[in-house]
Amino acid sequence: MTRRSPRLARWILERVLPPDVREGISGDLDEMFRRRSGLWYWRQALSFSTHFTRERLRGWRRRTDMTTGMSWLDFKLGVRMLRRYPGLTFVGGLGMAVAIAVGVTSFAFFYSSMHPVLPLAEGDRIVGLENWDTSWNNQEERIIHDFVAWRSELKSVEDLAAFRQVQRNMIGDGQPVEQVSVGEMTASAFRLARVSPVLGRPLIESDERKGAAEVVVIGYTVWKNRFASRTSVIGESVRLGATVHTIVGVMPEGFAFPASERAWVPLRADPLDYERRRGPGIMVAGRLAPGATFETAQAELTTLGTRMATAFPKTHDRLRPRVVRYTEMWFDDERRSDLNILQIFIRPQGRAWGRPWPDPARHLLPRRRAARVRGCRRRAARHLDRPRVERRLHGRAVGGAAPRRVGVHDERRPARGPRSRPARPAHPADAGAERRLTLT
Amino acid sequence: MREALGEFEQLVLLAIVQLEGDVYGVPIVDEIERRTGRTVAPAAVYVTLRRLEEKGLLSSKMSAPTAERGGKAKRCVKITTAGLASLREARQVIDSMWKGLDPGLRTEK
Repeated sequence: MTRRSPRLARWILERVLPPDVREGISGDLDEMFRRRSGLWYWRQALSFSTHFTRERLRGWRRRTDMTTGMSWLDFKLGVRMLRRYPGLTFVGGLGMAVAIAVGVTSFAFFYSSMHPVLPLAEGDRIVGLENWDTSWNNQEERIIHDFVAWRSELKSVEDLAAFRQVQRNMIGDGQPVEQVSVGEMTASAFRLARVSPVLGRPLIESDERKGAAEVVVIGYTVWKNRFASRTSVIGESVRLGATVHTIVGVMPEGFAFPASERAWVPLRADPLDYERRRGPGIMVAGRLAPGATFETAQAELTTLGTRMATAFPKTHDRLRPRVVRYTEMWFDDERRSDLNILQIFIRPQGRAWGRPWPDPARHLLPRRRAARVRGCRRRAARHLDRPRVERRLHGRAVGGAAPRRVGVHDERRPARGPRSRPARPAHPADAGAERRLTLT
Repeated sequence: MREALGEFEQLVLLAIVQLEGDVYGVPIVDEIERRTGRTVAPAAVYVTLRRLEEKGLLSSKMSAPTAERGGKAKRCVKITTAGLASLREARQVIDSMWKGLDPGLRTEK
């Protein structure tokens, strides 16, 4: 039986180690721990904490070229100052305390703004699941097969839902044509959100079947503006693009799950129709099961990913499934940190606040800008070079005009084959490095 | 001239060269302990590995995760051409300091 390392020590290590080396080091420590005691693990946790904190401080000093310069003399002078001028020292101390408090509050404010919790029942337990392709360092969205496997096997994440965003022209009787954001989702997405419709029903599993009637659940604003809040709207027809749908439900005001949708139709993506890593790009989210944590979910998903890599090495060898915060799944790794900062400057005043239902794209970026970001990601995947994508993203964020359908998945386009990958730089050591050092 | 390598940095780089190919933290710690007879803090090795990678003397990649390690991947490191050059320079510096010393002292090397 595998021995478990001390939980608290593990927790400390998770917090102390930089993310880029965390997995490797904790795996190595677990390996060494097998022939050592719990006390040894604790010693290592403390040793790693000390070493990496010192290293971080050293790096910070190097970058800022600053040191605290605190010495015994400073301390003595401080005490002397307090004794001679207590009033002045008190006012100075108070000023610093206020400045620190203002700093801490603003950081807390920005943090809560950058990483909002979905305003849903237990919204903090909703997580995103994604497949990371290590060969081209980006997210693999054609994961319909993986979604089916995750849904049937994962125990620590439940109500797993798949969805994608599309834009459709809504055409109704005598109403002007309006472009709306439509969520193609599995029925489980409504269970995940735990929000009931105000009228009719949500999507159900039988709606996802091939050949089932075309149904749609509409949002509150659509119901109010296009159907004059008629309670008899259930059963009426509305055209989305070329397809006529029957309205089966109306969601409450403000509901916009998964991002900023105003209508919802069933996601009909049958894995049998596609080979692995083919088919439409989808996103997957779920809710942590009772008792499960982010870490246990990640461990289970990693194990499952390993099994899939073994079973399907051709397609899954370089894929690493991972659990991310729901709001983070809308951006790739590099963009996440950039956009968190960017969104502070481009958030439209007042729009993000007081929304009763989840709208992560509005929490992070306005809807169209979020769509643009996703569009940029897709173009990047199609070999646009990074500086060019960055220039475009920046230009639009600053206020340049954007095409209307940027980032919109075109369903008429045939399913893509595996993306041809950009040439990876060779491993530096492969390029002429000697395997043995010649010590002459 | 490049930044001089510290003694421990040299030990880590030499252990990687001795082990050949892609190696990860555990064998590096073992190799240094075995060859030097000293007890080495794993944290010191990992901090040094990271620093050497930042300097471009090492490169690293994640291996496939294995069930024995609880689904965690190994971070395998490899010495780069710049790393080999730095080791050679360090060796030359030491050799030049030894040059001209009496043979008796040299044998103690």
